[in-house]
Parts: sequence; structure tokens; C-alpha cells
Amino acid sequence: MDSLIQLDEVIHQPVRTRIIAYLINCTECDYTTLKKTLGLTDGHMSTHMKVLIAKEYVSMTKQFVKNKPKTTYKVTDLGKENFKNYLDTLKRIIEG
Amino acid sequence: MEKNEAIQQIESITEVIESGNKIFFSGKKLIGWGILLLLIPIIEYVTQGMTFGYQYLSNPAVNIIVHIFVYYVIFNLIIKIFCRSKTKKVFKSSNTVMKKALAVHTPIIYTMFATIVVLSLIGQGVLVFPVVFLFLGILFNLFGRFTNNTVLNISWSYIILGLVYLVLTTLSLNYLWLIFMIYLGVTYIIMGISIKNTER
Repeated sequence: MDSLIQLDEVIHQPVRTRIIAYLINCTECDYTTLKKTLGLTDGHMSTHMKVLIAKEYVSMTKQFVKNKPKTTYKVTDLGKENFKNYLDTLKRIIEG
Repeated sequence: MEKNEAIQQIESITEVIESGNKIFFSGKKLIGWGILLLLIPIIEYVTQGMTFGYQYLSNPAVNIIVHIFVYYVIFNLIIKIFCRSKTKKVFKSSNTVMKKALAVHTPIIYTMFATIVVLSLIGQGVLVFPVVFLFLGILFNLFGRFTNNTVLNISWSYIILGLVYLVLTTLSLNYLWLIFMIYLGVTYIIMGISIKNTER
């Protein structure tokens, strides 16, 4: 029960866990690549990115590349720290 | 959270991280190149009696450079016509660190072409094919590490065959290039199919 309380609720959601894990590994990633690689829908992306951005786990940059809009996401320091803590919690649960 | 659930979560995270470490290599383009490589012997045969043939270009260095130029133009034209994909790149990666590491393919390709030109100019055109095999071996070895084992294994075969070819150049076998070209074409197609099969 203790471990449940300690788990980060923002990260402990299947889609958000995958998004944040992918972004941490790739440093930064654009909307289309992230959506395609993780097999997500526009709905998933919209809902979960809103949560991650609102909680300041992920930052978003919008720019125009060759006259086309490009949205890029990057994990913030807070996001990295909390993901690391989340992994540590999972390890503690596994180790019993 | 149960222990099993935590293990599953860690496995899911590992899987996501591994997917980010793969490169998206265009299998379709590799198959296209493979077919074109297989067409080279036919093109060579057909063009023997034309200006592209050996009897009109007595200088071997000019001959090799003209061949490279002609095939470069033909390949690019055909690829542009038949392989219209959304991405112009042969490969791409979403991992920025990997992008930087894989950018090493550009100097490898430039060095390969420069070496071909230099070998032709110094009258060592016979060494062009083995050198191409060695460079391609290094290049695909790099890509193979981020795609699949088929590419990696074929890359090693290029390196070994490049060295074997170097030895065989001393025997002055006229049709040696033909065998190696067919091998190159067939392995490109195999790599292309194998990458296409692993694409999402």
C-alpha cells in the first residue's frame, strides 16, 4: 500500500509512462515521430501531453520548419528527476 | 502495486527505450538499389557499343569517373521516380545522440567516392571494387547495429569479401566484378526485405 502512495501519479499511467520514457531516451522529439513510434492517437497525444506540460514534466516548443509547423517536446529537469524517482520506487517494489 | 506489475512496468519502459534506439531505415529504397545494382551488368553489356563503352574511353581513370557519374545520375533519377516516400532520407532516428553518431555516414560516403577517384587517377582502378566493398561493410556495420542482425551479418560479409577481392585482383579475372556486383545487388534486396519485415 505504501508503494502505491509513493508512485508518481502523473507518470504512473501507461501512456504517459511510455511518452516520458521515450522522451528521456531521445532527449527531444517531434509530435509526429512520438505519435507514430509509440502507436498513439491524436486523442492520446492531446490528453496526456496536456497533463505532462501542465505538471511541467515536459516542455513544448512550436516552430516553423520550411513553412510547416513543427511541435517538439522535451523532458524538463523536474520530469527527469521524477522519472528517476519513479524507477527507484519500482525497483524497491521488485526487491520487496 | 504488486511485484509482478512493477516488473511488467519496467519491461514496458525498457521496450520503449529500445524502440527509440532503432533507426528507421528505408527497406523499400534498399530493395530499389539492389535491383538497380543487378541491372548494372546488363547496362554495361548494352552500352558496350555506345559512347559509354570501353573502346571510346581509352583512359581508365576517365572511364571509371564517367561510369560513376552516369550511374549516379541513373540511380538518382530512378529512385526519385519510383521510390516516392514522405521522407527523403534513407534513414532517420528520433534519438538526437544517435543522429549525431550516425552522421558519420556522410564522411564515410565522401571518403569512399574520393578514394575511388584517386585510385582511378593513379591507375589503380582495379582496386576500386574491393575498396567499395570495404567502405560499404563499415557503413552497413554501423547501420546494422541499430536495425537488425541480417544487415550486421551482411556488412561483415562485405568486409571479408572486400579483403578477398583485394587478393583476387592479382589474378586479373575479367568477370570477377560481375560476381561481386550480383552479390551486392542480391544482399541489398535481402537487407531491404528484412528491414521491411521489421518495420511497424
